[in-house]
Amino acid sequence: MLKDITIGQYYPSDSPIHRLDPRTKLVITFLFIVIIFFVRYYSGYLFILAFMALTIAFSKIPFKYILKGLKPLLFIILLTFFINIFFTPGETTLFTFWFVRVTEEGLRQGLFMTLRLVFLVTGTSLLTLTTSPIALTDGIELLLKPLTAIRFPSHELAMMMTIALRFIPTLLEETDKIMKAQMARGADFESGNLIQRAKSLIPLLVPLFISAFRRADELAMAMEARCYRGGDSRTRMKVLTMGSLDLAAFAVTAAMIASVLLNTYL
Amino acid sequence: MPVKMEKVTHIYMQGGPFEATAIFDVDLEIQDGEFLGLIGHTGSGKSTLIQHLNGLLKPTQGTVIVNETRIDKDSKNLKSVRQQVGLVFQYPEHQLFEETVEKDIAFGPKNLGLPQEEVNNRVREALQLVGLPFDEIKDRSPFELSGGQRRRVAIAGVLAMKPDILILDEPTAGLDPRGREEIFSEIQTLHREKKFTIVLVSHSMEDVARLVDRIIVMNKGQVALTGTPKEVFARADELKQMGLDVPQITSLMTRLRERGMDVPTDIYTLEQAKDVLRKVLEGRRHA
Repeated sequence: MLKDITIGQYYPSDSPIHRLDPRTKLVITFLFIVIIFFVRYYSGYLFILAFMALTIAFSKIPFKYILKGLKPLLFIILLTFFINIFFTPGETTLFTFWFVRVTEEGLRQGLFMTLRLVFLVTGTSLLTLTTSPIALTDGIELLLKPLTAIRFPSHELAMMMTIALRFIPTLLEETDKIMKAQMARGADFESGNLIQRAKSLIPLLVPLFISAFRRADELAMAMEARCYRGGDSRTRMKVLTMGSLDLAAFAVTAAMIASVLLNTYL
Repeated sequence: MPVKMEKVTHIYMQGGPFEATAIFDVDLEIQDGEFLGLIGHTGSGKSTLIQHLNGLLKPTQGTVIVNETRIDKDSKNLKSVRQQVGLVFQYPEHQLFEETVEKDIAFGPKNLGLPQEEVNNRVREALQLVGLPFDEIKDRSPFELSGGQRRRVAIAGVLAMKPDILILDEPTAGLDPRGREEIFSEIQTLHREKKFTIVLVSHSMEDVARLVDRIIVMNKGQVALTGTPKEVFARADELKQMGLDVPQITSLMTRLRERGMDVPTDIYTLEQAKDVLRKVLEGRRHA
């Protein structure tokens, strides 16, 4: 039941997009987010759409799987759509329903914002879909490295993220196990009012916290036993290298950005 | 109360990239009062299988029938099945959460909505069944007990539901030899004197051989072999192909025979081996 959340969950495959350096993907995703806000006309979205279609095609991730990831956000997307329709002032009234006046401008604005949101979510989820969590934190660490000059703990931050990500599946599994163990003793997590439900979580949360602390303790011990002492002069097993593939990706991105900017300002 | 599985298949995360078929087309029957051993390699589907027996997992295809209650993929409200079939997970002490032992064991009976008096009786009875002194232990925190004691408290928590069938998943994992012996002897008592139907999941061929009436061997999500310990351990080659083995004492007998000693090879407990070897050795002395 807890395993059904697919948004942004790494989808293992061996595609050109998967093979890109995580730093490349992080930077491109960042640029992508920024450029989306530069789009002013519908025609600008054509370039974004083309860029995303290209990425998805190359990533070998089934389109259906990506759509499935959007499902939990359907509510927010619809909300954005309707709020924009109802609260955009405009001249040309298309139709009035009760006290709601739907204008052409409102409809345009609603659709525009919805598309922006969909592109944002899909684009960013492509990053986590094609990059394993470990590669992602490695990328973040290296990108933040220059900040160590001002005493920013980039390695420690990345290590914390790695550990946190590493333990998500473990804790989910543990939750599932404890939940089942309590259900086997007749616990009921699914019915009752809010207070009853909150109370029914105690038999789940207490063992979960105990085991999380135990695991943290064991992990700290195991890391110390292997002489871990932070990031100074630490080498890595997998050294990240940029290649021609990354160059090509940047080129495509640059072309997309240039087209969008031209579309907006010319 | 017989349990029956009919063509049960379970697929995890159907439709996703991590889809996995855990068990496939399993037919199984458990008779009243039986002591059943379930063995199999890690990932052979044992855990998935036992979770079907009390409705924690619902079959993707097929039906599980527990005492006339049918469980299929749309079943709901399975509390009564969970009362009838007690499931003790691996490392059950990890599920303890209450302030005192008494309260923790009372969790199950309370969920069944029993009156306080009955709950108290059941707690007392359950602690007695696992061999712990009620008066000494009831007010202590489960977290200050020893590992073996904690596990027995957790098992008592399931016994307090008064199930007819008790399923134990590796009940002695991580215990010292003495703790293991104590748990096993209590399980045997439950079976012999309290007439529990018991399903024991284990990696240890020795324990299974010594305790159970019938063995089910799982391999790659299917029932590969089934029969008495004698029948199953006679097929050593097949077991080895599945990454399993026969009890060490059976291996010893086979090797003694290879070296020319006239001993039977269908021996799987220490007791049997002792008798047989004594006879052979005495025979030699007289000759």
